[in-house]
Amino acid sequence: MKTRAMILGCLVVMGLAILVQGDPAMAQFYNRKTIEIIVCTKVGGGYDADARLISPFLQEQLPGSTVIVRNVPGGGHIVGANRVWNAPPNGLTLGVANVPGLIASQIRGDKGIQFDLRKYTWIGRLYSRHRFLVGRAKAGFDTADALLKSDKEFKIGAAGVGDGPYNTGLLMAEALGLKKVRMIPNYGGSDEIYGILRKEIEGVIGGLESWNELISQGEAVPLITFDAKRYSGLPNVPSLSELVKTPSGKAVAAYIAGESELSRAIFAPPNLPKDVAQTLSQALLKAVQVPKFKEMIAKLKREPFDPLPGDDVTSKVTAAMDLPPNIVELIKKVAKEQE
Amino acid sequence: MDVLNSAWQGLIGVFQPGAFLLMMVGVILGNIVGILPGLGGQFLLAVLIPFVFGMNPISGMALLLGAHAVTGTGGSITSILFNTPGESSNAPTCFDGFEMTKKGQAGRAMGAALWASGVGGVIGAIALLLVIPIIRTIVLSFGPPEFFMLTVLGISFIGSLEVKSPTKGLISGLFGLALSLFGEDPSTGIIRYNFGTLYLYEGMRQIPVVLGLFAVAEMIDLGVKGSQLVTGKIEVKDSVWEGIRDVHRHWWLTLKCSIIAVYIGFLPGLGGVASAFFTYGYAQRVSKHPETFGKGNVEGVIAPEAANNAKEGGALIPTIGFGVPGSSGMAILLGAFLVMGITPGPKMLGQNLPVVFAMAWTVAIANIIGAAQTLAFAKWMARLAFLRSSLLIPLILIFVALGSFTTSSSMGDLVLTLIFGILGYFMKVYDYSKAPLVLGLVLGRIAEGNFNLSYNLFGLGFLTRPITVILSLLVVWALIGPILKRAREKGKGRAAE
Repeated sequence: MKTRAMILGCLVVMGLAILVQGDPAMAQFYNRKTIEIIVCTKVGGGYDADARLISPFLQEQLPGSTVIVRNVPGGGHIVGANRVWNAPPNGLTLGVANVPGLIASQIRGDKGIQFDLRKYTWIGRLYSRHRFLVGRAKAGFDTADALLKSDKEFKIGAAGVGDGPYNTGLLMAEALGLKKVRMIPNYGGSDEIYGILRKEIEGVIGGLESWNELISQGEAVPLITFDAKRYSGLPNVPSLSELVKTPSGKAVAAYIAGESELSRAIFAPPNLPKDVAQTLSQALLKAVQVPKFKEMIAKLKREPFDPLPGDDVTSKVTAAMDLPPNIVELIKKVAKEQE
Repeated sequence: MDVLNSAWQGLIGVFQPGAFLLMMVGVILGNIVGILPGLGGQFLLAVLIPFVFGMNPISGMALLLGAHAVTGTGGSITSILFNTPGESSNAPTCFDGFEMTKKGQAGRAMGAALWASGVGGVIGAIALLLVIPIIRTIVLSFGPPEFFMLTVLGISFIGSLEVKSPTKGLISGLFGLALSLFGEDPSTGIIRYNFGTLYLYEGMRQIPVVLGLFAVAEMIDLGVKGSQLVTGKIEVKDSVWEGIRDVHRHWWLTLKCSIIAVYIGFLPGLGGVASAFFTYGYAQRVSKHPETFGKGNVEGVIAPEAANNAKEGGALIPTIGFGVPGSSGMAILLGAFLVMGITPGPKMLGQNLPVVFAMAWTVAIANIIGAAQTLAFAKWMARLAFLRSSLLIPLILIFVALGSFTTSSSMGDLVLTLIFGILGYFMKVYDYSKAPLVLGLVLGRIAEGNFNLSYNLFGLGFLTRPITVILSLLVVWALIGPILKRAREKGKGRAAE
């Protein structure tokens, strides 16, 4: 009796161990294999930096694997996204791109797109990017209220017509009914920082990580957050969704908030076997939780990462692609204004 | 005294055994990557950054800055020996450096290039320290109107780069300007001249174009002629030292070009490639023998090579002083600084001056070590130019193909390299200079962007800003100066008759 109980107990423990470990076959799947993270930008910049930050930690979670980063820039991230789309679904290719930008591109029907974002295998998200409208200090727009009430021109710098901040700025102006907002393209890279310092522009749209230094120097002030709710680190800064008054404005605010949720989503070719996708998703989630990784992120003065598993990202992408017709028309209208 | 003390502490920090060793490693890697065409400093930084996690700031900085400071140095070697620029900013070195190789003066060219790089880098580091107290005023005094006029000044050099036939130089330059229009116009979002392909979405990529125009064209020419690269007698002995002495003989040119490059380096928006072409054009303009540029004039090697390394010190200025990257390489470095607990910006200047000095010392010392390292091998590397063309051509083409493809993992880059290789060959056959083409390609887009931005912000009134007016007068001087000079020379000639 005792022997039978012991054997049963051992079997239960072994079964639990297997369940906790996952499929032993999957544990060996990545042994001696190379995973390529395709970054859809040139070397340097946020997407590239994030991919290089996470790659060694992802490698640790997939025993025996080698994770490398390959830059495939071009076509506004479309070239790299196409590369991932056409890669074999063998779990060895991942993609990092400006997913909100790709969503807008697909909605607009931009030429050259071979992919359908709904059909990628979404592995997960590293973090949601808290984007803000940041204003130049002492320009007469030190709060969102001041911006809404002012009839002075408010110039917002952006890299180019049609890029993320440019579109967000126009959509924000449309949602808030601001007539005096003017987008100024040609502020590429860190040029918009100089644009603020030289007092050429009154605002920019970007993540806090780019603007913390100027905010701490008193040169810039966050005015509006594009998250669905106020950002906990800046409780006095209102969100766009609480400032808009009309139903269409609220829909636009929700769309813009959705963009922030997906800015660092990671994807793989379509039709990836579920167990492989699950392994990658779990590995990504664990990699972000490693204490050494968290310490590194803290040293970089970045917000702690808030990852999401692949299934959640899939739902968000599907929702983002199934926009109300009036929002689709607005996005296309903003695109047409470029031509 | 506090400043002197900080300078001394910074210097001691750099010479700590661990930091110094890491700097040496960084310099070796920087030279190797610089030699390999197409890879560039940014690639090396991105690869090295994971290694600095957990390092103390001085050590990590020694590795990264040591590597970044000298990638231009290594790139000059292939420019001189094989007409293959290591980076786009090494392209002007090809114009005269390669001609010197063909005359059997490879050692002299390399000595001049490498020593000028070292000296330029040191000047850049010194400038970094001198300018920091007034950095804000200087950097913020230049805006889009001033950048536009600076690029116009650079473009105005196009006509004078081809002294023999200014018309051909102008055609080449205008073609370069036309090529700069390809791709997305940020002002309107319209994709121009991409022929329906995604590849040209962002315009003509500089590295494949430059590799094609210079390296591939030269190899085609070599293959067609069936001759050896170097037809003159080799003068290896003492020739490297001769090159080093050339830098001292032309110390004033070296100093001026370094200072111009520092200034361009810390002004955002112009880019490192611009400083190399600017200084080449300037050197030709002020030379006593401008007609010898493009035929093996050592001044044409000294100017851009001093500029290439000096500009890195310049790019560090806004990075350290504002916490705003002065170049795309600096953007990567900035992330690494944060990881190591260094927060660039005004506070750093007030609270962590020894670290600032350590950075400047690292750049200066890395440049000297980098130059010395490559000079030690210069004599033997110069002999590579004497390889049979049946060996040299495939070797160079393999390196060029790897360099061209590595940037974006795109077959389109290889195709572009080939197309411009063929174009470059025929330009050589029909005696059209490539310098104006590359200058037009590099500066055209910057000029267009800054013009649109200036007009958008200020209307045509931007042309009346004080610095813009001064620069426009310099443009006039650049355009009519050569005409007046030729008229004076003709007049003297008639008077002599």
